[in-house]
Amino acid sequence: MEREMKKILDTLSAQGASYADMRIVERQMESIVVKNSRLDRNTESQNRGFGIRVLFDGAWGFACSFEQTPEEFVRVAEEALKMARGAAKLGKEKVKLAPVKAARGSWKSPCKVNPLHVKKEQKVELLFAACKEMEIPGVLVARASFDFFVEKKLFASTEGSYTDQEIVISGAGIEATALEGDENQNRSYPNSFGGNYVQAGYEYIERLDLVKHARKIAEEAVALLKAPQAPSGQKTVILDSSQVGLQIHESCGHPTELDRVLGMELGFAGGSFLSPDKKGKFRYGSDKITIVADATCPEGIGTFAFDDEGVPAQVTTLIDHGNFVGYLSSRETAAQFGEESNGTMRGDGWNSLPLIRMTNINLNPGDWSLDEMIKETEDGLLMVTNRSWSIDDQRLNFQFGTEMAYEIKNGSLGKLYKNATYTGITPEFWGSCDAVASKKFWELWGLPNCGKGEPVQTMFVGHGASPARYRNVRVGVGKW
Amino acid sequence: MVGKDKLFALIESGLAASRATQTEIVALGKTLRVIRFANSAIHQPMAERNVSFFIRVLHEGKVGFASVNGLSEKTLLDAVKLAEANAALPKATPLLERFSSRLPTPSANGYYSMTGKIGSDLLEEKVGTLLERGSGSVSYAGVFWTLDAELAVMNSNGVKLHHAWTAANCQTVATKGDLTGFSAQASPDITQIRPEEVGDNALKRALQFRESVELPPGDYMCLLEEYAVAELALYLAGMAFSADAVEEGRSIIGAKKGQKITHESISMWDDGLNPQSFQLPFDVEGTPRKKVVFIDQGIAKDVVYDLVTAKRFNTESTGHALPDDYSEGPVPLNLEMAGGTSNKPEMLKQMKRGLLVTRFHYIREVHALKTMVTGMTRDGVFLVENGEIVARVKNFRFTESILRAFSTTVALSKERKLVASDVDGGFTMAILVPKMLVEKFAFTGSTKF
Repeated sequence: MEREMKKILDTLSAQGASYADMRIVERQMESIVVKNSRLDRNTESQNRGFGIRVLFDGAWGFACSFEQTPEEFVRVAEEALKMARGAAKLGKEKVKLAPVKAARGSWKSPCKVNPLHVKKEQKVELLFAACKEMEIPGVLVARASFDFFVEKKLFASTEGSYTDQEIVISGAGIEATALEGDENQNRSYPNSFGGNYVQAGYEYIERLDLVKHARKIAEEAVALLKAPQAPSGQKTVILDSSQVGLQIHESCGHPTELDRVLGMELGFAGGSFLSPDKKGKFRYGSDKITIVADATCPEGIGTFAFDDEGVPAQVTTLIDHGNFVGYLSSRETAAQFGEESNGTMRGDGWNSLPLIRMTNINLNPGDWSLDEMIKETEDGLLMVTNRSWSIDDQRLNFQFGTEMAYEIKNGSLGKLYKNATYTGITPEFWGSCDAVASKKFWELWGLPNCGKGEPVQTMFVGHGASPARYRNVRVGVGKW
Repeated sequence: MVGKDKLFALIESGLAASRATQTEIVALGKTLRVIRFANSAIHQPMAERNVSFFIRVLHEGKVGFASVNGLSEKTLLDAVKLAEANAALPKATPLLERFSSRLPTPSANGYYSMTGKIGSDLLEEKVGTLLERGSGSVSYAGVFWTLDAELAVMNSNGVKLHHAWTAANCQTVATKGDLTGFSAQASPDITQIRPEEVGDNALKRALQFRESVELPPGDYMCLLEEYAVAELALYLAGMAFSADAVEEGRSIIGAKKGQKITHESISMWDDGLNPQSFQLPFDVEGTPRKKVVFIDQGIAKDVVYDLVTAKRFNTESTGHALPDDYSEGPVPLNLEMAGGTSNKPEMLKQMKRGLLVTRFHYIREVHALKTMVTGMTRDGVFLVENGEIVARVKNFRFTESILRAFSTTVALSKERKLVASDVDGGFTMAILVPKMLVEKFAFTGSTKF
């Protein structure tokens, strides 16, 4: 395909484009849902097409199509160029790109057993078995699901890059919903909203052992119906690893996206409180907090070899012992600061413009055990598994809810609570973190639905985290 | 647009190749043009052309599904085989007895050629018109998009339907320092959208006051602009207005059907035939879209169904199915809330002390059955005292039950505004709502911005 792609890109260069790239993407997806011992959803989807991005006189144009014919290649290239010409007339500052060496290479994410090649009967049987374990009195809905995703992507640019990548992602989860009167409560494993996702094959599904965990989460969902309302006030909060992952996502991942910082997403997702003057000078959190963007992390669903500008995958420190030190960048945004891109541009399939996206944004482990953290807490809550999340458009004021919480009194776990919530302001909250659990407790979480851009693009991003403790947090928000 | 004849021909070849007792094939074609702008310059113009096919087959009541994109007959026939294999799985559960039959379908003319045929150059010019309004006093960021879409549905029961429609939406945030304002206009007909007005309205709101004052959180009387009402309506619909939500025990409509759940001035429904909205006269199963009333004068009424959920609830489909890889259940795409008799000046006069809220941001459910959500205000909150807007206020976080807030409704505007959701995928949600004055809205956190 390289020759065909090069021909189109050469034509664009000849027509005055200062830069152009082309991606050809093919995706295969499989989704299976068993709900209450009923095969509720069994979908297989295939989607392919190409997109061409053109930089002309300092302005971008992007066009894409499903139809991979030589004629359509030409039409789409012309349309992208036409849009870039039009945008250039209305542009203020001309886009410049940070330099990058031409990328050439082929990469496949590690995968022992291609999930799309596993017999569907086998997958469905496993989901039925997990559901059956959750079907106990009090549970209204027992749900078990698999999502598999295989993407093949070719990338070529006018600067001589040509890369070929293939990633395989497997995701699975179980969820029990209990209902009584006006109260309904959920419990999930290994995470809420479809479970967890990793860059691996079906071997990950076997590792999860959904059936083994099913009865416990069903019992917890039923127990939550009778549990008291979580208390309100200021308390010490210990977040489990998955909730720390989402906290990182919303309050560190998004605000360090340099396109947000520069106002490029202000019309929809918003901006960022981490303005350029803060880089290297701003106290983001306590000295326990070191957060890195790691696009090389094994099994992370934000892992790749080259981003959608041909920039090699990197590890970038964003927060260093509490100090804000780095952004997620692209060639365009990095150039504005005389820097090189740290390689975070990804588009959602063939039909989306690449944007700065989180890779795997990971909190480095500390040296505590979860037991030690609990033992050294007088009055607090252990909050487990996300249920609700929201944050403002500058990424400062957040509020999260978890599926369940345990009281911590004088160093011991106590009552189970329902409807637990906490709220805070990003730097104050991370500044209040006085303990991060060790590598033993560190887990990698995959979020398959990070939204950004217009039309909204969803992206696979990863977060590695251990449980962490935060002091003096406001909990129990709202009138219940 | 691919066109009716070509889509029908491809679908017919798929139906002919199917060995299943019943087969349904849906084609969704779209041309999407998007001009994103930021810092008062176009930064992400894009155009997309796509066509997708969604295939379902029935085998002894079991449903098999597959989807592909592109116009290759071979790819489509491969997908038909895949759907057949999925329906034949031993563990597949009987979900349906038959696909839709041919039924009279209301006519709808939601296609506006000026919207459908607009080129990127003209759309960029329109954005240029908006950007000029800032004239250095504010910076604009936003989007202007147009959708030219077509849906073809055929099945082996004789259903053969095609509908083309258009949609357009222009919206912007105007910024000056920490001050922001928002405005938007949506319509199936792009000639009804005035980008200069969108720019002017956002600018006026951004510059209304030079500074923001900080107020403590608490319960405030609130005049919610249409964008704010639309956001709440959208989340209420997701939590409560579908048969799936009822089955999963998270729908207040399912839990309290026939009971009063909010103020008697509140009526909400879905109407796919309203010409003010993005019309869709039938769903992807070929079922005519029915008007479905969710809340009638404060009373919980009904939810939307597709064929599968209708069978489960022993009722009829309301024509709200989406393809299996879009949604796990039926979805109301054309939400409406009844207007009242008031208008903004009258509503302001009724406020001794309260807040005017332009829009909300990042609403998420906290407890679906209690219709409790949290979110932030954005792009313009103002203090109203004795009927006058007297100050700009820093943003709030709210944690509130939507129906509890609606139960304190004081007035609704007579005029309603169409608010468009994101255009991702081709099925755009349209929300037609009034302004709303509520006695109490619970803000649970304040900010310094």
